[in-house]
Amino acid sequence: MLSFAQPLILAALAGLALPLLAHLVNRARARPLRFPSVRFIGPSQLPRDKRRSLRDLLLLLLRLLFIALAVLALARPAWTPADGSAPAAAGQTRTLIVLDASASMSGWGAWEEAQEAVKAAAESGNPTGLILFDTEILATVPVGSPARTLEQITADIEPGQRTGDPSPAIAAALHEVGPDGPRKLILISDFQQSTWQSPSWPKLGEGVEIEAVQVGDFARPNAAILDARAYAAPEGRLRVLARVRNDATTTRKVTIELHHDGDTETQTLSFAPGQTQTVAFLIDKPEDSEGEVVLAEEDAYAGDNAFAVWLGTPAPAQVVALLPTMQEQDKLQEVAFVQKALTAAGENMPQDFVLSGAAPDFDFGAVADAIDVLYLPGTTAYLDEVQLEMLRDFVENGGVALITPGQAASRQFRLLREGGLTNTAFVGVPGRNREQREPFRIATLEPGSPLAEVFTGESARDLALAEIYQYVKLQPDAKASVLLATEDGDPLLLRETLGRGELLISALSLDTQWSDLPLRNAFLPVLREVLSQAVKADDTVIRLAVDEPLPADFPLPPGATTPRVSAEPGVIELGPYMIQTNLARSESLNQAALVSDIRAQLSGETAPESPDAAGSAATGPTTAIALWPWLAAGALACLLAELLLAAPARRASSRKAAHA
Amino acid sequence: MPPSVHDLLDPAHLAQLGNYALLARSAVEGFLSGMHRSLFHGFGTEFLQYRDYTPGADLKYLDWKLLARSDRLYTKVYQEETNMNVQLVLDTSASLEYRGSRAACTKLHYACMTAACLAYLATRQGDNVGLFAYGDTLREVIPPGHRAGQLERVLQALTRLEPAGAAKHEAMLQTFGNQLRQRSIVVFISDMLEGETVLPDQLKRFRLRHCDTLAVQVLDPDELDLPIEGVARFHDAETGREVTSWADSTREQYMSQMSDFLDSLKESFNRSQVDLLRLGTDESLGYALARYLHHREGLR
Repeated sequence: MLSFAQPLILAALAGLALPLLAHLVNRARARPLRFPSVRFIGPSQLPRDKRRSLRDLLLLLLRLLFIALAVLALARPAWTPADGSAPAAAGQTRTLIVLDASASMSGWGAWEEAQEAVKAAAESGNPTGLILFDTEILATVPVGSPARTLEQITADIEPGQRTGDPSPAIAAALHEVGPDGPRKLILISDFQQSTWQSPSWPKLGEGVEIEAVQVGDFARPNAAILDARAYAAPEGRLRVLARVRNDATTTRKVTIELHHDGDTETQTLSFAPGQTQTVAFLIDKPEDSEGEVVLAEEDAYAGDNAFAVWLGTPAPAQVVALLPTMQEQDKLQEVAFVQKALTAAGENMPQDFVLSGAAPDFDFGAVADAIDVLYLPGTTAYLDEVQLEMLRDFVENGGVALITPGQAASRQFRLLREGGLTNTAFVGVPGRNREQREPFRIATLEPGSPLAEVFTGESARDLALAEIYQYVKLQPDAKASVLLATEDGDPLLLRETLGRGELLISALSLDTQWSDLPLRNAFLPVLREVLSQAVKADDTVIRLAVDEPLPADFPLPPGATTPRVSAEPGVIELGPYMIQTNLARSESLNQAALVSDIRAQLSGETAPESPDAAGSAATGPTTAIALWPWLAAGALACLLAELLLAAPARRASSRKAAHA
Repeated sequence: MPPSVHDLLDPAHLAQLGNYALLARSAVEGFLSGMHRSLFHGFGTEFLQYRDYTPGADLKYLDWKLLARSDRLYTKVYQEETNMNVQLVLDTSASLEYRGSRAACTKLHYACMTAACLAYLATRQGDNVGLFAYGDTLREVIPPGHRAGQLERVLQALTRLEPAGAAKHEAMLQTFGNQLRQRSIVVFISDMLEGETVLPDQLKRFRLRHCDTLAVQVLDPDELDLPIEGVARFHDAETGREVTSWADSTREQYMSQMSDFLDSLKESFNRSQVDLLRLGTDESLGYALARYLHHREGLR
């Protein structure tokens, strides 16, 4: 089949008329010549030179051929050999629609548009099939099925509550359209970022055209409940905190309701564009442990307007401090500061930690399961080998150790290294005299670092103003992440992973002799945030997305298969555990991936820089044979022949001009 | 390598010199330096009378022989020989505009170069040079004179000439004859096309007035053999008449008629006792200069 990359250039074939006209007009005509006297020049008949006419005709033919070949070459023709398969022979393209049916497709008007797009594709005249997917392939309609079947299926099925994963669907689609002939995939989706960010999509083979149809409008206003949790409040009551985000581009009032025990608590808050707020409900301890936070108004996506919440009280994290001796007043002061910070509770801040003290020789190995955090305020130096072994076991099994330096910091880090807990080494003490030198400062937090999200604006300023008089200089382990550092780059707070647990190592004693940090507002959030990130969520409640399996380490009786308990949103009780299931909040994301990037990744290419380039890269089989080089060579040959043939005539013409 | 005489008189070489004074000087000096000395005769002085010697007179004019015979002092009084007038009559009609493929310049330019060389040569020999140029009307008239800058005036006038109109030989030569006062050398330069009946008679009149007359016919080589290729619409430069012709078919007839015309012209001039010099625009100017000096010889 002959095709042209630049078919509009073919209009230049009209230029063939030019040499033809010139040939007809430019017959042997008498040229004017001014001569001194014509008295001896007699009139004569015009010559009839047949040989010259033949040459003229040949020249005309060559010129016509040159123009035709040059124009055809510029139009970039390509010859696609006929394919043996039936659809190709009939000039049809095997088409397969890959339709996204993840939860987000139920919002932003996407599904209605998708139904229209399926209808349009099914009626294109090509043999068309359909694959419907969310996390897995939901339905497959073979290529060549009637258009009505495709429309009926999209009318009957609605997007579910699961997240989307297009990889299996695309792989199945490539298998369905076959290996030969013209093939086409039509991707119909909202192309939500969370769905279309797989790094391992199957690559399209040669000759597979891809068309992306984006449906839905993420600009429509939406509000989402991101999370909801219950905490114990004073007087046996319960505090339910829900985080709500306004995805609209305008400020709006959002009414949030909490349904529990047949009652409804209501709060209305004003949200700025893009703002996330925590809404607190204070309720009496309910009889039914299942509650639901709901947004009262309808919006673009209904899937994130409800959140099932377990109305129980998670146990606070247990922190055990191995107390120093009474001689170490500074360290005792530190323990007091840390206790105050961890056990503080407010209106919107539940009590997350309970701190209890123990002697350094306390056998914490016996109660390790009940301890979440082991706090070592300089007392690492007192641990013997057995205790160090216990400490390592505790951390490797998921515990968190918070270690601060004491007077014998050097010995502390040596013991930790010898105990196989860390490779972080003690280097020295840069400053000891608070009177004689400028205090050290905490460096600005790197964007994206764990504490950067917490410390913004005024809180970051407070942290930066903290004066540090003394710290131990550490050479951190290669695997350690630095949470806080001085302006010179020395680490102040390190987090290291050991087994399933973590070590939090401070280069700073948390008392007022080493710094004024414990006296600052920033101290409480630093400590709580660092510990919250390290301590595993309370293991009373397991939070799942719809259809998400139970965690692999969920304790099951030997031989039992993992039950699927998350088919619908809600709260169920499974033995001592509460299973809280909700729609995946990733489906609430109102941002679409770049279609050009998706096309490029599927085509196995790097992302194109412009949308046009993306379009051209994604379309068109590459088996066509380019004809333009042959045509260009032909045009060149014609030009040379014309020049050779016309050379005598041109020389004669120049002589005549000279005579004139 | 310095240019040879031939180079200096080659119109292809001279036509590149835009300045007629330089052109004439180059050609004439080169020409003279290459000639045998006998061809060139200077002018002497003519004895008029004796005069009594007065103290202070130049002793070189004292007649020593008479002093020896008669013992009286006489000085000779000489009269300078009267110089000739050289009248250059130039036809500037439109037919002289033609320049063929083999010619170095147009016929008019060649005619002007010839006139310039003759004017320079004459001035160099102490003659008075004048110019009379015409086409359909009078173009330039410079009476012969010996004032300073006369040659310059003639050369400047030559520079101003442009070919135009049909030549009105009879009327113009009549006008020229009326202002001719004394014996002169008349050098008539023209292509003389269609003038075979008028020109010999008109120039004969000058001859009868004891003027030595030289007719110089300037022709382009194309006018002799019509080498035009293909069909051409010939437009007569003077009459405006047009003839469409294929030269290949009419060339022989043309050359025959042209030859007859030239022969009859020569015969007519012979009858009129007027020398005819025919020059092609691709020929050396030496012929013109030699013929001019030959005429000068004829005057003595």
